[in-house]
Amino acid sequence: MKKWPVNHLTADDLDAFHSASLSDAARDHLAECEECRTMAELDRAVLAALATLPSYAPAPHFADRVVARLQRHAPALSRVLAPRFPASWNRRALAATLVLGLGASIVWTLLNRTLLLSWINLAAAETGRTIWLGVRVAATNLTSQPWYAPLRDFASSPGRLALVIGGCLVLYAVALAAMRRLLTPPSRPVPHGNW
Amino acid sequence: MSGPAPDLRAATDQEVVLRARTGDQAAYRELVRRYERPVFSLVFRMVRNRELAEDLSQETFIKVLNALESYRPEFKFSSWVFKIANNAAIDHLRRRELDTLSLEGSPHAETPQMIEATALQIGERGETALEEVENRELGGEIERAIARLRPEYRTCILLRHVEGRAYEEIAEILNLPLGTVKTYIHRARNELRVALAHLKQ
Repeated sequence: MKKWPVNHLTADDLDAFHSASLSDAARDHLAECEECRTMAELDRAVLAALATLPSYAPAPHFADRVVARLQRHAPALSRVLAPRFPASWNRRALAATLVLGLGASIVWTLLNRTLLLSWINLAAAETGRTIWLGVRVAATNLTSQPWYAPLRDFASSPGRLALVIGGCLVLYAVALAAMRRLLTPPSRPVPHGNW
Repeated sequence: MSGPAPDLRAATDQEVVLRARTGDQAAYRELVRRYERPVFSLVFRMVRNRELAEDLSQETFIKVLNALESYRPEFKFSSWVFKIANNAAIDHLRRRELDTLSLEGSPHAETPQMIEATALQIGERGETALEEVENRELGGEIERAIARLRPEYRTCILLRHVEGRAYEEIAEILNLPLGTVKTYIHRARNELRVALAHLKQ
């Protein structure tokens, strides 16, 4: 006759045993298996012993000592401010300051629209001029480089230009693939990876 | 000293926290009063030294009370307190390498004085309650067996079967997956069964 593998009680079965919600199959097994019965009874004894362990109290006036240490460790500024400005007051004061600041800024803007507009125009013009100057300087620097003329001659032929662009694109694609490979997390756990 | 106001005693943890956030010292004391025994018991059973447990418990409550602004009321206050207490105890054990201690003292101890100094302090002078438990055979055996468990198993078994916390809450406290918590608890129970088997016989 074929002998089936014995399914001893699992951890979940043990929990079910203690809460009297053991499945029929597990109950049948328990009735037949001496080993599991001993384990379940011993587990029951362990849980009973754990449940009777006393809770320990710290030395008397523990709360007083905690509050005293709390006050000693409080930063000097907050200790000075704490009685007069509790935490919620500080938040209200901050909110009021922000609202007042925002209101004042809106009022000032409305009263000085012309001045503000002239400042914006001036800033925009200056920024544009600076950017254009930067572009011109960069272009002049580039065209005055010793390698610029040979490069321009080389790229003047459409075939060679296409070759250079194609080479650059291939190089870019290879670099992109390599970067992606480097940044992809491993699909399998790495030993000691959490250390 | 008089006890906390009756309305504080009846208030929920969240309500007491709200009052404590305004700097109300009575609310501070009430929060400490509610959790001093469970926190102290957990830490004491983790570090097995009364003075140290008291220091770590004080540190725990100071951290809790200083960080009340960052407490999110949608989580159980007790979970948050136990998390901070457990971190304090585990940090201490890691710092001092006490997790490798046995009842017979540190394996690194070379002299009888060092062995005595590093042995687990069961039944130490002044630990009347603990001595009382040690004197009872099963209670003493199980305290010793708990002391021999790995720190993470110890925390799990204490939170589950001494403090009566749910598996899910323990997972939240210890920041571990639920399955890991269940495994730790069942391995710990297995070790306790082995340790207590001779008593049953």
